[in-house]
Amino acid sequence: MRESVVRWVVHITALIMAIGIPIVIGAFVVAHRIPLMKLAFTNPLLLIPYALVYAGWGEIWDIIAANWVLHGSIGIRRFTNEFINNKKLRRIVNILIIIFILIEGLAMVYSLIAVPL
Amino acid sequence: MGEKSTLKSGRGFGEWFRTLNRERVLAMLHKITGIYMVLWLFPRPWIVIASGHWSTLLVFDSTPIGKALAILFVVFFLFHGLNGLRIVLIELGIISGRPIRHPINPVPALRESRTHKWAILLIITIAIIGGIYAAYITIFGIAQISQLIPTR
Repeated sequence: MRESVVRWVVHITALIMAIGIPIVIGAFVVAHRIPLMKLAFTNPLLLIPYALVYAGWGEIWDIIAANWVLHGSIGIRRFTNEFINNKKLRRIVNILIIIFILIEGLAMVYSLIAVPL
Repeated sequence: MGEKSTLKSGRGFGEWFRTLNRERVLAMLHKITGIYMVLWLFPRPWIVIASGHWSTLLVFDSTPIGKALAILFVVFFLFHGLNGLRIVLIELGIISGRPIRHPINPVPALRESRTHKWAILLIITIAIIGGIYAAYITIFGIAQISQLIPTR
């Protein structure tokens, strides 16, 4: 995959998170009629992901979480590439990152859907 | 041609601190916050799967160490998101403008616009105020789901 395409993936996943997180929280607040003052004084980590998992919104949060994994994994790739100046080794790291994305992504999706609070 | 690499990178951390100016400091902080968030977030699904329920993590997040780590995550998330948005806007040519091709004079492609200066000021202000607020609600905010959602 060309580096410009990877860059676009980084941008798009970042934008999906930046736009998606407020949308999910907004929809959750409306659906559960949580007062805004209460929301403003809630530990953000209680809302994400515990309250979402508790209320059965794990599948919806999965969309954001999967983006999170993709964005973070590409970040790991970029970070590791700063230490490698060998093309062959970079190719191996790229394959390992793809495997990592699949395993971590599946674990994230499974934990949000199948594991109860 | 042999397999000898022509890549110029691969200098690791040394490259982060080679020349320090505002842009490079922001880039360095972007990487450090990103690494922290990955280390904080990525083991969590495995802990949840291994323990069989989310409440294990909720108990840990309620301890002083868990809260301290969570505060760092929330503050770093805020900075990383804002700075990331700035980078996207620069790369799309929205806040720094596109490179100008002058027939005679060399015009720097990465020249700084007034919009960019305002964007940086806005990021720093939101990061400081939002960071303090986020840290406060992470420590003292509602931490019981029953208080947030009374009925399922």
